[in-house]
Amino acid sequence: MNNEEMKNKLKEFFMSDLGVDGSVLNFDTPLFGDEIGLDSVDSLEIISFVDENFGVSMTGVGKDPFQSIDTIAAFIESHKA
Amino acid sequence: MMNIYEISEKIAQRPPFQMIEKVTELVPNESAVGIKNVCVNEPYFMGHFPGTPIMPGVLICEACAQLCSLVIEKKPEDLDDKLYVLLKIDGFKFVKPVIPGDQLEIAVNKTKGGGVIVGFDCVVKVNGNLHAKGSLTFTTVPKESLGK
Repeated sequence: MNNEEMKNKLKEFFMSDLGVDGSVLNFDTPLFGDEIGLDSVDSLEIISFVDENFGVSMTGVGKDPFQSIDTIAAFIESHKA
Repeated sequence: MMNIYEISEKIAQRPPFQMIEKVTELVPNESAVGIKNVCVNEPYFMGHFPGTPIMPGVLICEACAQLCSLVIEKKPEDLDDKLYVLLKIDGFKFVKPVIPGDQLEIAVNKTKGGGVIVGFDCVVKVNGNLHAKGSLTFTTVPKESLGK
């Protein structure tokens, strides 16, 4: 899976599982800002999804990798086995 | 198959907040079918509602949650310092009222998890007819963090 496919898979997850409106969700949109408005419960869902689908643990990594789809994909890319 | 004595060894809830009385099928970490008998003597029927007893939907969710907790095999290292708690209730529908005399047959199936969260689809039937369904998600929290 290339980087673009990974980001599209993440976007699909945000839309289907977390109820995010795809028309306002770009790869660089802040996920926890006013526009998308995700919260700490959603962050656990993200951790679980990334672990199950990409085999990368994001438990306890702090807030920075969760800023956007771009930063999550970059984290996965740099941590996958 | 578990009776009430075996269930009480596995979960912390107690009457009047014990909502699963028998487990008829159990596949650890996968699925279960459990029974709750709904009795007119249950204390919440005094107020919900006077003269018109209907089991509150939130308590149907709680019955499902208790059955889910019986499915989850706790890791030995987590037993002392971590607690499984309800994280999300998604898409619950209460299709028909549950009233005293009904026997809830609750089926729960794990849909995701094993890591930080565990999710289940839940179906509640009475006499084979659907009365409620929805999804529940759980996570663990360190006991020492509670109330802080």
